[in-house]
Amino acid sequence: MQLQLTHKTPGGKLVRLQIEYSHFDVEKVKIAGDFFLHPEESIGDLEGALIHFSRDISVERLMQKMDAALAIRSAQLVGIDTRTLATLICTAIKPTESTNDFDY
Amino acid sequence: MDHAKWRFIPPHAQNAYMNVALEDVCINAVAEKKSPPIIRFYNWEPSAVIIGYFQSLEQEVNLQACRSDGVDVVRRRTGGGGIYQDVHGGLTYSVVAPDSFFPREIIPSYQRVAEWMITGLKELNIDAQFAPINDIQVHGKKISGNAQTRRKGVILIHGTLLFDVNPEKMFTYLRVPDEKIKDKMIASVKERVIGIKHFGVGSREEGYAALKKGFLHAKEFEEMELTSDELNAAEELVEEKYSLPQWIAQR
Repeated sequence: MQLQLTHKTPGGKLVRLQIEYSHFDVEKVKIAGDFFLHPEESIGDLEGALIHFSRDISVERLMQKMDAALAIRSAQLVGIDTRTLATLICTAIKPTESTNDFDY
Repeated sequence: MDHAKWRFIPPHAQNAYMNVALEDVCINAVAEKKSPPIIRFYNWEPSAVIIGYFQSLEQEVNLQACRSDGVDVVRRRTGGGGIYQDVHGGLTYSVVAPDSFFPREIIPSYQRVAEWMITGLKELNIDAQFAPINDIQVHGKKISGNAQTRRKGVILIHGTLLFDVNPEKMFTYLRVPDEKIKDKMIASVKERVIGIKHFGVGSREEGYAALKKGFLHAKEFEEMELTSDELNAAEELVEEKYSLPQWIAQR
């Protein structure tokens, strides 16, 4: 299954997330948008941290995973932050009582 | 470090692929100390859509309209948003210098170049302000947007100074999320964005002359066109990277 969502931070940048997920897990997340990330190659590290994780992961844990990935190259994310990204992802993929109701 | 000697490359037109490749060539030239730090003014011929490094090509660009109107589509190395550069449109510039020339923090480094731009705009009697993260505004309206990359110990900051605002044309080539709100988006751009033409600037040349004064104020510089070696290196990069779907459609 796949879902896409778009978020614009107030007065800030736009981010588009493409999330591939299964019944229990998120398979991968693709992050696009008009934000800045220095160095730019860190986007691979960031997306690499968002592969195969449980859909009931906490915002804090997901944020930690992303922060650790950005630390690999001392990367700076500008115009969006990892807490916002983690919150967007967790809210979107949070398992419901019946996944049949999970309809995007 | 404005006391260093700079190299000024006067306005010249290239296609979009060459323009993005030339940014790499300039970074390499400065990193390898083959060139002093560079201030380059340039135009786009033909018109082009340039998307930010992290943007989705499919979601941001109306490829069919670009193809049928002969508008180049290219992905640049820097983040930020997609822009449409008309062949008769905005003024573009890039600044390439060792990273020691700029503040380490991202926003103050944009501010440094913004100050040069603001000095230039004063020559045109336009009172502008830096608007973090990466914009310059006049009376709350955006007149310039910038982006940067840092590699090999060098910072590249590039951007556009708007000459005229034509959102109808812009949204022909850049996608709107919903065709039903296209008119609203066009109206919104007209409210939020302004070009130097609005202030009575008659030509791009007049704009570039003022920018040159602002960017080179109190700097020692020599005017030096791109060399044939630099142009050849850019052509190679176009063939190997910037014109390839693997690069342009990577996201």
